[in-house]
Amino acid sequence: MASRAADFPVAGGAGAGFRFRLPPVGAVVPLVALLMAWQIACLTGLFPPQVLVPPSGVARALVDMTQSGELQRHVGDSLFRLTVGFAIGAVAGMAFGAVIALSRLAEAALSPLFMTLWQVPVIAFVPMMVMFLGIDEPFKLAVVAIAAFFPMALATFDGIRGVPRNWFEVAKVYRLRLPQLIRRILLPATVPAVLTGLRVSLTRAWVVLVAAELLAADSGIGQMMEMGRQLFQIDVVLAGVMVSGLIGFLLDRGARWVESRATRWRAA
Amino acid sequence: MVANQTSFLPFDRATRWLTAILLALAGAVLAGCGGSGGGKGGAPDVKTVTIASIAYPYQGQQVFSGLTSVVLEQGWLKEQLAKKGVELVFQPVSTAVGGPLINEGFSGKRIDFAAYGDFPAAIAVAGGVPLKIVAPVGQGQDVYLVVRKGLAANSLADLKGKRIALHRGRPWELPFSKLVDRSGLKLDDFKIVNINPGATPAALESGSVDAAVLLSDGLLLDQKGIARVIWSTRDAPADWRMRAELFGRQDFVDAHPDLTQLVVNAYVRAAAWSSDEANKAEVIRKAARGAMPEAVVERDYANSDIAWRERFSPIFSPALRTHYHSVADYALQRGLIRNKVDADALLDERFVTQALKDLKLEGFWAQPAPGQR
Repeated sequence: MASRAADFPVAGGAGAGFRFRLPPVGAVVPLVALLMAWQIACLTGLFPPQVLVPPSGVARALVDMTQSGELQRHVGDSLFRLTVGFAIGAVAGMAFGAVIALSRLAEAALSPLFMTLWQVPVIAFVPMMVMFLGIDEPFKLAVVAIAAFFPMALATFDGIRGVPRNWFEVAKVYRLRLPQLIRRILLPATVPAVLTGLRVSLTRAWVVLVAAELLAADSGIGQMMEMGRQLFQIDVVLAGVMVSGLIGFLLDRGARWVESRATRWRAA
Repeated sequence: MVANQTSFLPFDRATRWLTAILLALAGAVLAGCGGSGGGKGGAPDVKTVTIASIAYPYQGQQVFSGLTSVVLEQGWLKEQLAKKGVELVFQPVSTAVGGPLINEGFSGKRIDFAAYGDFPAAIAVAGGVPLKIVAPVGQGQDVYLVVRKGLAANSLADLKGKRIALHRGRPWELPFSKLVDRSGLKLDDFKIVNINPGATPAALESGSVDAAVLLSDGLLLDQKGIARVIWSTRDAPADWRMRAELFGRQDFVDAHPDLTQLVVNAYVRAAAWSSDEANKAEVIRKAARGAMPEAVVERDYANSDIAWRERFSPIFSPALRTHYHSVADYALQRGLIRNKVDADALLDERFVTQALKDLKLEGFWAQPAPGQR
């Protein structure tokens, strides 16, 4: 067993070897190196400190904005949009993926349109969405929902299509009805693919949300960065970069953790 | 266990690599620092002078607004600089981005001069990019508060709780902020939507915002029936209007006073041409080009009762000094900038004084120009 573990030290989401733990020391080195290079570049005095803000300045901006509650407000608004928009998009995506996976007719009718739309960056829809939804919350929720919808639908489709045909035949033999078929066979069999889809669409939705907030919003982490740019407060911009990166990282890690927990039975 | 041990091996190697890369990087940065420092200390070997200004797309081209377009058309500056082996570059900046983009250009030393607004310039100076006003380019512009069609609001107080489009960090933010203060309200009493002026008409039309703070494009929306002007800086003290000047990057101005003088001379020439009543129609036509109908420009001009001759006066008036004191103090007090801007240090009159002598224009404009209405 020990040799197997060495062969597959961290084998994807499905492996039993994956544990949610702090990243190894090695993973911190590039980060520290980047911070050091950044600080060194600032110390040369080649750029005004307000333009190339040193890491310490960004840290100060983060502390200030946390104390004033500004950061929490923006992060809270963004996370709220992510939660609601993602829930809508993910559920719709799962339902859509299931429909085109289970019905050949639906697949033939809908998949060409789906595949075409999927290739379009969500940001390209922004002008149209602003026209129909305005620039308020519905617009931002829609951006997140659309970003989450496509990867989710695709993952669900793949997951269901990946269920071996003979499992359906067994279900037929046992005369399982649709609800039972879904609960006993489809759900467990598609969980890994769906969870992967959730993770992909979650991080994608986050990136798209921040971008949409840069364009049109009155709050949120993206808008915080845009305001920082307009008022020439580069430390605020960089603080936003760090916070949104960290949130994206944690979302991905969290989703991976859920993924590995939920699919543990596979290795057993 | 085994897995953990293997993961430490590449770590050691990685550390060695990263140390090497870091050292190389530090060396490169230091070398770059020394190199550029040497260049600065030496002869002023400037190859180009870059002037940024707000421009509008017109017939597939970018056309500049205000005196910059006259400077460009007169071609005098280009000739004079060419004699010194220096190329003149005009950098168009769309009104959708405006000041923030110019500030980034100034801080990156990619722009030497810019004709732009008071508040963004104060933001740049507060942000550690020293600038100088080398020539005033006008007597200021009125700022308008418009409400969407069908909204029954006649004052700012009626807009409480409503959505107002305001592009942050732009010159029209200050008069609006002053109006909010004077009305005994706070910015938080409204839902401020940070969108650029280009996106504002659609937002007003679709009802996404209830009101907007704009320059003369607000008048245009009024004329088109999309919105209604309920307030303008005309209803306020004279120094509430936004101003634009020709700003120069301080280190460039200090290092190249000769080139700066040429640039200022060109703007003063352009101002003299524009101030001639005979060219009024042409000036209005230019100002309207690509941006809005001539009637709107005329109406905007007529809004302020400034004599035509004084409209483009490059004279440093006491009103100008007061204005920048007010901009600096107000922006700091409202937390819009974080460091105090020394308004007196911002003004650099020597180039205009010299230009008036060079061009024999002493006495052409009222001394000091009537900044007050």
